[in-house]
Amino acid sequence: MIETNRKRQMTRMIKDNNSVLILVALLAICFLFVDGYTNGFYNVLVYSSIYGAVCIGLGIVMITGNIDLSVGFIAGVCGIAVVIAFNAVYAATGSAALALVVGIFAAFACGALLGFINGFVIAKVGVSPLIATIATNYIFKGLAFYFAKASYAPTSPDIVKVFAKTQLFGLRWLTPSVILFFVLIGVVAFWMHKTRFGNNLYIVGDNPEAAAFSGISVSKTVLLAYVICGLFAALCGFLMVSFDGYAIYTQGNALSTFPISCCVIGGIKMAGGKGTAIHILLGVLIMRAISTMMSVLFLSTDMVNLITGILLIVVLVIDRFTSTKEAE
Amino acid sequence: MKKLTKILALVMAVAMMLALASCGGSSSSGSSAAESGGSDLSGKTIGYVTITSTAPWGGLVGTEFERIAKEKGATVRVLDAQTDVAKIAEYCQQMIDAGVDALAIFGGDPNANAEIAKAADEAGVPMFMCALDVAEPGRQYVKACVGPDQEQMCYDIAQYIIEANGADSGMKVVQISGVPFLDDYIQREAGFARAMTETNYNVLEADYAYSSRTDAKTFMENHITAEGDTIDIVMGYDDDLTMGAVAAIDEAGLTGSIKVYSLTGQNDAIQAVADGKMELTVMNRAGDIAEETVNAIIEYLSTGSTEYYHYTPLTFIDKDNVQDYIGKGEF
Repeated sequence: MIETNRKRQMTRMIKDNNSVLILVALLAICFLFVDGYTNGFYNVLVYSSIYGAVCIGLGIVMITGNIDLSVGFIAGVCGIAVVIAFNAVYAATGSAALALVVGIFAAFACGALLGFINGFVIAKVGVSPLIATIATNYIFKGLAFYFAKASYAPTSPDIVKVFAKTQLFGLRWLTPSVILFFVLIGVVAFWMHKTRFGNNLYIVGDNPEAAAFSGISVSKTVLLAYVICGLFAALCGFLMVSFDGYAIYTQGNALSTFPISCCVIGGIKMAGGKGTAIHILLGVLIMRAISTMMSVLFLSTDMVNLITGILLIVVLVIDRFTSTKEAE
Repeated sequence: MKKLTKILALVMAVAMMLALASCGGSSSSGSSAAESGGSDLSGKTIGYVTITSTAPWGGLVGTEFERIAKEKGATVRVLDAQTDVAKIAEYCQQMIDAGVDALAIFGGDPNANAEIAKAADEAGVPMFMCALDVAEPGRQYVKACVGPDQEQMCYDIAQYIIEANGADSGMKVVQISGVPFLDDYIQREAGFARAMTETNYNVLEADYAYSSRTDAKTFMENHITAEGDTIDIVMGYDDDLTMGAVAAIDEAGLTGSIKVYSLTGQNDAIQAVADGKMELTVMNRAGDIAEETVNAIIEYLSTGSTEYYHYTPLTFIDKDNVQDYIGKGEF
């Protein structure tokens, strides 16, 4: 009896942490068999820190049982907002520090607004999240295209680059953005499990009817989740500008499928109600490890597309399988 | 059944990872000097990062570059950013980390490429621009820029149009362009616009068909529907897209009344000139650019210097000389 329980506990532990196993196995294979991976590994951490914020935001929305396909272009628009605000304030005052503060504020304001639009259309108007965010994705893409067809750089770029380009202690993989990403994961993990609103996200995602019966405002929770998602996308937009040194409308393209893949492979269920910030972290690291492996191997375009497609299917199969299993 | 699915998913994932790990360098085409007979780049590893390998002309620059560099004995590493400008920077950094002896870039954003050039220079990797230039601040870090003078090329095409139609004829011009953020298109449009300031032409905003001939055709159909026979000229910034516009004009029965000008010099466009469906195409050979880029790399690696601009030749093909070029395009 005790042995059966122990076996069950072990199985449960493995199932709950299968993304850890995937990451460990993946990294082991990469380090052992892929030439040049050690040299390119810093990419995994640095790029995870740049794009990771958008995955945190999307993960929060997914936990409520919703989806946001526009999150990449929210980040793109916010990145452009950073540069527009930065350049305007810098031109008016000559203060790069002030311009940076206003630029960051503009990005967050923009992210919150775009997130609110998504949330309002979905939670208050009742449009399907899939359809609504496909539509807003076009709108945000159009906005980004209108403002930054070609690259649009801050007029005093050095101060903007500090966040993503500064190598702390001379280590290439240790930048302020990497530290920020891990701190954010910790904060979000705490917030989601130790606060009432964080718990409400899970309850709404797990069973919205039950949530409503227990007095939780489902629409308000979902709306706020989208606003928070917009804020994280804004952070990502700012970090992309900090890392690349410019904003351009195609920056949103890079995030079209990446955040969803990260969340699902990490263990966030598309049906909602399951997953943690740690799962998002693992998902981001796994996806970046694979992406880095493909570029270190200099794979051809057809191979990259093939593998990306297969990977998405594997991710969805895993999601489907584990969701069914849990439902049983 | 569930167990089977789980095992299958696991096996698929592990197999994929192992297959990936074992197929390293599948697109990187190593060939020794002894195998190829060349020696200029023997023992050298050349990185080539491209914004696209699927567009007909852009793809050809890459395949020709790879072929010629291999013939010279180099190992060529290729990464395709698939039109994602940000990926260009990531891939270039990957090349630098991999310790390539030289790095060539095709496409991307000029400002972004300037940043990359600086990073490459700091790492001691000579960088070469294929078919387009970097933004001015980056030029000090780039060893050579190879290709036609894009801006001047389209200025010259515009002058050809003005000469044929007169500067004061008030022509209405539709522009079909490619990818709005790619520097070659930006430069081409700028050259055309510069010449147009000397006329009273009504030049409409460019439509961006990216790499889609179908989209270019749709744009042209929309213009024909909206503006009918008031359109006088179509300026296409890439033959592949222009041929979409030619098809729309043909279907609308407006061939001859709308004059079409373009560039690239691909076979169906040359044939369209011969058939009277187009007035002009300009042969801009991808192979010339690829070969000259390899030459610039060889010169730099052997002497430590090379001139900055390596201009490649252009050939204007119109009704007067089209018979000499039929079937002689690169694709």
